[in-house]
Amino acid sequence: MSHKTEIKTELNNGHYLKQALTKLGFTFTEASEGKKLHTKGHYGIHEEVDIRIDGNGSQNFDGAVGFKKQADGTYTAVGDFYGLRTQDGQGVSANFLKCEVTAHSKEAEINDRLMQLGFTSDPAARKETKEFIEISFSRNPIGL
Amino acid sequence: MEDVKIRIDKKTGKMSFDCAGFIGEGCSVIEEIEQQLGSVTKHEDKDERYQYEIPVPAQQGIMG
Repeated sequence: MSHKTEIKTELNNGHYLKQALTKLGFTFTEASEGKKLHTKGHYGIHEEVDIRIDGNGSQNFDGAVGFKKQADGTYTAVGDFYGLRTQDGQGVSANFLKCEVTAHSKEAEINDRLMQLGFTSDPAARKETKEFIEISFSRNPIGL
Repeated sequence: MEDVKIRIDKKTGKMSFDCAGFIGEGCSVIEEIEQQLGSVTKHEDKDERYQYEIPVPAQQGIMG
C-alpha cells in the first residue's frame, strides 16, 4: 500500500532549509552534483529528491522522505511519512514538516539579514510554541 | 536602542514584525524592515501623488 505524500512549500533557499533541518534535529543527505538521490520508501516509493532526511537522532527514517527542488525554485516535501515520529513522539506528517521547516528556515534567514544590519538577538527572549516562533532583536541606533 | 520583534506563524509561514511602532506582515517583511530601518529606500510613484484628478486653477491676467 502506498503512502506517498507530496506538499509544496514556499522555501526556495536550500541553505536555510538545511539550517532548519539541523536545528530541528534531523540528519540528512544532500544530492551531490550530477548524481540522483532517491527516497527509500517501505512500499516501493522511490522519489527523486535533492535533500533526503535520514532520521532525527532517536528514530531512523530510512530515508523515507525528503525535499525536492521544483522548476520554479521552491522545494516540495515528498515521500512516505507513515510511522515517522519526532524525538518527543509527535507524528511527522508532510504538513508538520512543511510548517516546522518553513518557520525555522525563515527564522534562520531573518537572523542572518538582521545580523548584517547590526542587530543582535537575545536567545533568552526567544519564544517558541506549537503555533509560532517569536524573536527579538536590538541594536544601537546608527551614528550614536 | 532600536528594537525589532519578529513573529513567525508556523501554520501559515507568515512573518509579522513590530519595529519602533511600525507593524507589518507578509512575505516582503524583510524588505519592509529594511525600509523602516532606512537601509533600503523604495520609491513607488502613484498617480495620486501627482493629483492628476485635481484641476489646476488657470492663471489669468498679466504676470509680473
